[in-house]
Amino acid sequence: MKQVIKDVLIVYMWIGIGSVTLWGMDLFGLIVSTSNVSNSSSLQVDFPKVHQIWKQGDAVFVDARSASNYRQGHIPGAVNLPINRVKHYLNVLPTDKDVLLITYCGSIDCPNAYQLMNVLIGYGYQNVKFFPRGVQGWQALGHILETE
Amino acid sequence: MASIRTHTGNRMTILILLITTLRIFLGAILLFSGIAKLMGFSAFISNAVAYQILPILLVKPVSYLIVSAEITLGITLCIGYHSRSSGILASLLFLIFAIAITKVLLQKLPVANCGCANFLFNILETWGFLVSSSPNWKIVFIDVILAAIGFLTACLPQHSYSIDLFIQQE
Repeated sequence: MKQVIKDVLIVYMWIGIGSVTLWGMDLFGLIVSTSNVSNSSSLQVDFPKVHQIWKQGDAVFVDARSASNYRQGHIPGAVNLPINRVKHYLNVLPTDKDVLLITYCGSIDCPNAYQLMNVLIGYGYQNVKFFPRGVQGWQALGHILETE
Repeated sequence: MASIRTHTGNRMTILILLITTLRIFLGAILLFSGIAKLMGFSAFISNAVAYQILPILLVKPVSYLIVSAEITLGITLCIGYHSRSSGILASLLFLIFAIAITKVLLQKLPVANCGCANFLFNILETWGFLVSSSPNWKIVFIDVILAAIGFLTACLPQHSYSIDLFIQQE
């Protein structure tokens, strides 16, 4: 039994070393993710169309980030629906399932907007797209953010 | 008497070979699944977030741990290095997966496809070894079976075709 525990600890040590290596690789940008998020162009809305939609008020913008990030600055008029608490925050969305929803998160590196879009489709929303550049892209093009 | 002994010996050899095959099979699944998760890492993280099990801050470190555990245990099981402890840890890993998916299913969280489509993912998903499509009870069942194989591997005191055996003989 003692030997098995010792062996478990040895294997666990290797797992720990692996985790730290992965963290380091991620830190230096060596993990190249091949997810198909960037390929799903039909589900994306980008500049200048996204700004046009926002100006016309044709869509509800949905911020997938945490409540604290949302409070620090979000696209004006957007509602907050943190990706990890969708079930609890779902009442912020319109009941009409046909309304255009545009999800976004922090930046182009953040996959949560895409994930939230899929989750909302799962909840029956028919017209959901995502804005891949997120808050960072919005700001970079000189548009203001709303704070609370 | 001698024939009974030979018969028992043959059955034992078959059992050892069977468990060795299962060990290598389990290792290969873990290794492929770990590499596939690494190839679609951002999508894997976003899926882990949608599972709503861990606080957001812990999702990334736990994702590193899971991917590392899968790759490490995959290698150790395939080559038979610390086979018993690797079997125990692999068993625990699959049980954790089964519990996580059960939780998602019971809470009816609509975790959609993680969008991790690549060659490896597609193969593994087709075989039903990977949670790349929406969670379902079939995946829970497969995870429990794999956990049982891990436990079986841990039960066998000696493994043929393993580094453990080589070290023992040295």
